Amino acid sequence: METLERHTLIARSRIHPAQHQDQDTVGQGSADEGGDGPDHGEEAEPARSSGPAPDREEPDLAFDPIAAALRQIHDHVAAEDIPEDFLRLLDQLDDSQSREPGK
Amino acid sequence: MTMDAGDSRAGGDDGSLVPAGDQAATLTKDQFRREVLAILPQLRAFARGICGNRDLADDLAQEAMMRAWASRHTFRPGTNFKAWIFIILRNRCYSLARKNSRFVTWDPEAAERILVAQPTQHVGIDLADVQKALEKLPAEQREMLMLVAADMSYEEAAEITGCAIGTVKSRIARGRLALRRLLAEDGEEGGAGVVPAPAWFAAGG
Repeated sequence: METLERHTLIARSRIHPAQHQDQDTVGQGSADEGGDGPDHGEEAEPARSSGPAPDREEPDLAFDPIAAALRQIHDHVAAEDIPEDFLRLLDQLDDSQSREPGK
Repeated sequence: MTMDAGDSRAGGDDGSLVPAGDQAATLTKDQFRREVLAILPQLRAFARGICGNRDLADDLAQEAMMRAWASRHTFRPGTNFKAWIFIILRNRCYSLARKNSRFVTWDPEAAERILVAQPTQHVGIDLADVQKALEKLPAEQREMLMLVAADMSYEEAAEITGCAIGTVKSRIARGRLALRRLLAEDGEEGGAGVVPAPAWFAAGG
C-alpha cells in the first residue's frame, strides 16, 4: 500500500492541477442525471461555454488511477509528431474550398 | 462495439454553430492554420479515443480539418475554436459510424506502443487494459472520458456533445465506474488486477 501511495503521489504530480480537480470532483455530481442510453431525455439544459467556472467548488484530493490512465492514453497520442500529410493538407488549403453560407 | 451514440444536436456535420446571416469576419488561412496546428495533437488523440483505430482516426481528423476550413465562415472569431472543430470531428465520426457498423477495431500496434508507458502501471493499471476496456464502453461514455482527458472543461464537453453539464458528469462517472468494473473483471481472470476505487466512488458518489 505504501508503494501505491508513493506512486500515486508521483503520478498526481504529472496531472495539471485544474484537470486533476475536474476529474476527481466528477463523481460527486449527479450520477442519477442522464442515463446510459443515447441522449434520451437529456436535453433539459442547454450547454453554455461562458460564465464563471462551476463545478470546481468541491475539491477532492483523491487520486483516480482510471482518470490518470485515460489522461496518459490521450497524452501519448497527443505527443506524437504531426504526420506529414496533415501539414501538407494545411499548406494546400485554398480559398476556393470554402462553401458559401447556406449551401 | 458500435458507435451508436451520435448526437448531432451540437451543430451539423460542418459544425455550423451560427445561423446564416450571423457571420463575423472569416478566419484567414494563416489564422486557421495556426489554430489548427495548436489543437491538432488533441484532435487526433480525441479521434483515436473515440474510434479506436489510428488510421481511421487520422482520416477523420483530416476530414474535420478540411470541413472546418470549408465552413470557416460559420466560426465566430473569439469563440472556442477547439470546441468548434471537435464538434465537426465528432459529428463526422458518428455520421460515419451510422453508415458502417464495424467502425471500431482494436489496434494492436497502438496497444503495443501504449504498453511502453510507465507511470500508471506503477499504480496497478496496465494502459493497454484500460484502452481495451475503454473500447467496450458505450460511445457516449467513451467520448466524455476522452474529452476530459483532452483537458476539456465540463462546459466545453457539454457544448461539444450537445448535452447538459449534469449529463456530462453523469456519463463521466458512469464511464469510470464501467471501466473500473471491466478492469476488475480482467483482474479476476488473471489480467490487470482490481483497481482501487477513488474516494468519491467509495463514498457513494
